[in-house]
Formats: sequence, structure tokens, C-alpha cells
Amino acid sequence: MSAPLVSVCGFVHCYPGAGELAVPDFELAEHGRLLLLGPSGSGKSTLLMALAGLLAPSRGSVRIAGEDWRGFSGAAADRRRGRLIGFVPQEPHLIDGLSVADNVRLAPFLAGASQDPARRGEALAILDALGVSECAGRYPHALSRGQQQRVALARAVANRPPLLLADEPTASLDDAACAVALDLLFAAAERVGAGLIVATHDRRVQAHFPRRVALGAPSTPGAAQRQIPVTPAPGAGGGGRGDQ
Amino acid sequence: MTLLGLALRDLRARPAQPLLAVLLTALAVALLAALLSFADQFERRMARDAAGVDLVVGAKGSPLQLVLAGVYHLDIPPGNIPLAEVESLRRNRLVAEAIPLALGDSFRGHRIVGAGHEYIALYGGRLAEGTLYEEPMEAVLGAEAARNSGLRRGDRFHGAHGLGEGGHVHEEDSYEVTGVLAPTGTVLDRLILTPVESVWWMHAGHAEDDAAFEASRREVTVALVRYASPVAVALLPRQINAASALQAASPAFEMARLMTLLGAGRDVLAALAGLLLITAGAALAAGLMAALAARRYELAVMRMLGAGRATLFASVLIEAAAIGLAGALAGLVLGHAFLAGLNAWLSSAGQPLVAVWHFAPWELSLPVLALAASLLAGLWPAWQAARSDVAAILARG
Repeated sequence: MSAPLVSVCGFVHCYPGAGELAVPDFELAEHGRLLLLGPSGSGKSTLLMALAGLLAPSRGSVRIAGEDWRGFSGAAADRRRGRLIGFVPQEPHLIDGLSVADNVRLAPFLAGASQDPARRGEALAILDALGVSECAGRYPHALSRGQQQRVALARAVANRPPLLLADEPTASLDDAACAVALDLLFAAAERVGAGLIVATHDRRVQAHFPRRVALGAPSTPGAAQRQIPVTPAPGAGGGGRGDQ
Repeated sequence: MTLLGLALRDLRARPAQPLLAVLLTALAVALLAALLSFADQFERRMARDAAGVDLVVGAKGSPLQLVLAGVYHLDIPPGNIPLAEVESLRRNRLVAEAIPLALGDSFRGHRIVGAGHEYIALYGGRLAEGTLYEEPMEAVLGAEAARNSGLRRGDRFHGAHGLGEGGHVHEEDSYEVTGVLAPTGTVLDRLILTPVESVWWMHAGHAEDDAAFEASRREVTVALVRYASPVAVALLPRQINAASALQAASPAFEMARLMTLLGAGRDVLAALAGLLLITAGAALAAGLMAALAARRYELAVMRMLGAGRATLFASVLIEAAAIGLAGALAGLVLGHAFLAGLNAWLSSAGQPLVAVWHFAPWELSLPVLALAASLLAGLWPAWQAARSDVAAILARG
């Protein structure tokens, strides 16, 4: 049996002078979906950063594809992140000086992937799949916010990463737009065969995920560590570690 | 896609601050380039014109004036000297050669110099057309003098009294052009050459009587002396200055003295350019820091996409280098455009004061200097970009 795509075990992150975040153990199998649900300040983004290898937990371990990143040098971790992780930030944060197509091509370039013509075509194919191919030659400032978010999603999956992380992808969207955003996210993950972890405070999202990890406010220093439940979403079925 | 391409496209997206840094760098480099090119040309021209002249002998007065008038034809000579004195100099065993020059008239800003053919030979002058003068009132034109005056072989012209424009014109006598010299890159190019007798002839008309005419016949303005042996360096100037009514001035010594005087001004300008370059570096650093603040999410996303700290460090340094090089190249063009402006402003009779596109050897190191300054200015912003806390930035949204 191969290692799970994500494995979080005994994770505790200490904020300097501001309490600590304890996360229950969880795993995610290849192609699986998981929701990190919690209010603002509950540590969702911190956990996402740890999953991306940009932050080391104070205690416990985070393993991606069976490997604990703390063993790698900075440069090696950077390369692995580029290859293994796709990240959809809350705000699109596209690069103003690059066209839409080049914003998408930036991902394979920075990850050190080859820039052969097939790859160049891949960027356009992803944009097409996400319904923004007509924007390929335009610059970010000329796009609507919705279009920018789709481009950010295209950029996140341009390297065909096995794991896609999304930070508050539906924040400040109305119900219809929320459904569209989730559909796009699932479609993009499915297109590249990526597992998906979404961090959000938006409870409208939970029905779409078979499993969720609920995060509460970080405990204050000295207080007893809170146990945060890992529960199946209502109606999603299954439970315990490792959804399939 | 390359890091350089990324940097250039980023600069294009936020052009205001980089343009200010480019402009300041360009101003600093332009000032240095113009200064170096001008000084180099000036020194080369001075050295070329004084080549083969160890000593200028003329009337007592300012030695610098004597050198400027006798070698460079830039000043009024202090007076005339008896030809007999030049003849006795020629007999001196310390003197290899003494070339007498008779000055006094000019044509459209070009000096008419009375001299033997050996003066033309001193600067390696060759005929481009026609023949050398043989008789009084025949003249050979230097290349620039011919170009600016429009005179050709066979043309006649009237000299004007004095060495500048606007002097009394000698209507009664005219010179005939027998030939034109090829360019030599020396003072010869700007002169009109004629036998010494022509100058005597022209000024005989001013003499009140035959005695005065005879006196003028026996006078020249300066003699250019070449030493016969190294011993002459120590002995001859002292001998001339002490034992006769003449003055001896060494072009090398006088020009070194002049350079020292001019050098102070040059150093002030160079210091000003240095200050400008420091200001450009500060503007560059401030601009890059401001851009970093605006781009912190972009940089964080780049890290998330797999860019290492070294990549971000390099990308900021590449931006700094691009700004420095753009400023340096713009500065070189601007500096030489300034020389062109200087030509238009200060040149007389259409003669360019300086060659606009002459690059001094040190000038070509200015892009390296600007590049080093911009890299230095970019170090701190690059370090800040590399060590930015990506997790904290992205966690804030």
C-alpha cells in the first residue's frame, strides 16, 4: 500500500506569544478531498503553509507523498513545492507585468519544469478548460475579479501537482458564484488528478466535501490543548483516518 | 521565459520609480562621459600639437601665453623677436632645430602663419592637392581651414590684421592658394601657411619708413626649438632666459601647469557626478524597496510556485542591473549629445571644438561603474525579497 498523499501527525504550531495551534491527525489519499473548516484566526492558513512546506510545525510532522519536508534543504523544499503543490490564494495575486498566459506559464518556469512547446500549449488548454482562454493575451488589470480567480486557479494546476491547496476560495461570493467557484475547483483538480484541500470559514462549502477537519481558536499559552474533531461531513459517509 | 524577461516585464509594469533611477544614473554617467571624453581629447590634442617641440622661444612675458600662442595658436603672442636671435639659436650646439614663425594676420578665424616648409614637416603634413608655397603671398591651407573657408587651389583671399575676426582687412594685397594639406589631426589643420616673407611684406605697408620696414623684416614672433641632446633640457632654457631679451617656455611644463589649474575644476565636476551617482543608487534602492512593498504578494506567490530565495534575490538584482545599465547607456548617449551641444555653442567658424563620438579609454568603464553602483543599491532590497516571510504574507490573504 502506497503512502497517503498527505499525512499530518501530532501537529502543533506555537505562535510567538500568542498561543498555539493544535491540529488533529488526519490523512488524505490521492485524489481525495478534504475541508479545513474554522473561523477567522483559527489557523487554517497556517496549516496550509505547513502543508506547502513554507512553515515547519513546532511539534509533530507533516508528510507529503510520504516525505517529511523538514529533512530537505530550503532549495530542495522549494523544488518539491513547485512540483507537488498547487496553491490557490484567497486573492488572485497575479503578476501585473505578465499576460494571463505568461502568468500561467510562470508556474512551470519557477518549478524548473521544461518549457517545451507542448507545455506552452498546456497553459492555453487549462485556460480554455476554465473558460478564460479568450483572456490569454490580456493583462491582469484588464480582467474581472472572477476571471482573475480562474487564472489563479489555472496557474495553480499548470504543473499538474498531485495536491491542490485553496485558501478561502468562496469568501465574499454569493451562493451562485460560490457553487461555480467550487465546481471550477473540483474540475481543475480532477483534470490534473490532484487531491484537494480547501481551507474556509464558509459553511456553505462543507456539503461538497466527504470529510472535514474543524479548527477552533488557538489555545492561549498555558491552557489545556483543545482537541479538535475530525468528522465526516453530514451525509458524506465514512469516517476515521484517510478518506478514499 | 527567463528571469531577465520577468524582471524587464515587471519594470515595464511599474515604470515610474525605475525611470527616475535611470534618469539620475544617466545624468551622472553623462557628466562623467562628457568630462572624460573632453579631457581626453584636450590632452591628446595638446600632446599631439606639442610633439617635437621641446621649447618655445619668444618675447618676454607670460610663458603660458607664449606656449598657447606659439604652439597651439590659441592666444595672442607677447611680442616679436629679432630673427638674428633665432639664427644664433640655430648655431647653438644644444639646438637640433629652430623653426621661426611669424604671426599677425588671420582669415575668417584661421591664423595665417609665416613659416618655412619644415613647420609643415614637423606635423607630418602632406599635400592633398596643389603644391607648397615658394614665393611670398603664396599660401597653403590646412584641411580644416580649407573646408571652413571654402577656398580652393588658385583662389585668392585677403588677410585681416589681428588673430581674431573683425580685424582690418589688407585690401591692397592678396594671397594666392597654391595647395591644400591633408588632415593631420594637429593644429596644422586649422592654419593657413605662407612664407615668413609674406608676413613681413604685409606689415611693411604699416611701417612709416624704410627703417621700420627693415626692422620688421628682421623680426619673427616665436621659434619652435627641438633639443639636440637631453642635456639641453637643463641648460638651454636657463641660458636663453638669463642671457638674452628672449623667453624660453617648455610646452610640456606649461601644459602640465595648465592641467593642474584645470584639474581642480575637473575634480569638482567629477565629485558632482559621483554625488549624482550616489543619489541615483539611493533612488534605485528606494524605488526597489517601494516596489517590494507593492509586490510582496507577487513574490510570495512566486515562492509558493517553487521559486527559491536565491531566485527572488537574483530577480531583484537583475532589475537593479537592468536599471543601472539602461542608465549607463542613456548617459553615454546623453554625455556625447552634450558634447555636440557644446560644439554648437562654443565652436567658431564651423570648427568643431571636440569630436562628439570620441570615447576616452576610461569612459568605457562607466557602464561597469554604473552596474556596480546599481548592484550595490539592489543588494538590500534583494536580501529583503529573499528573506520575506511568505507564510505570514499569504496567511494574511
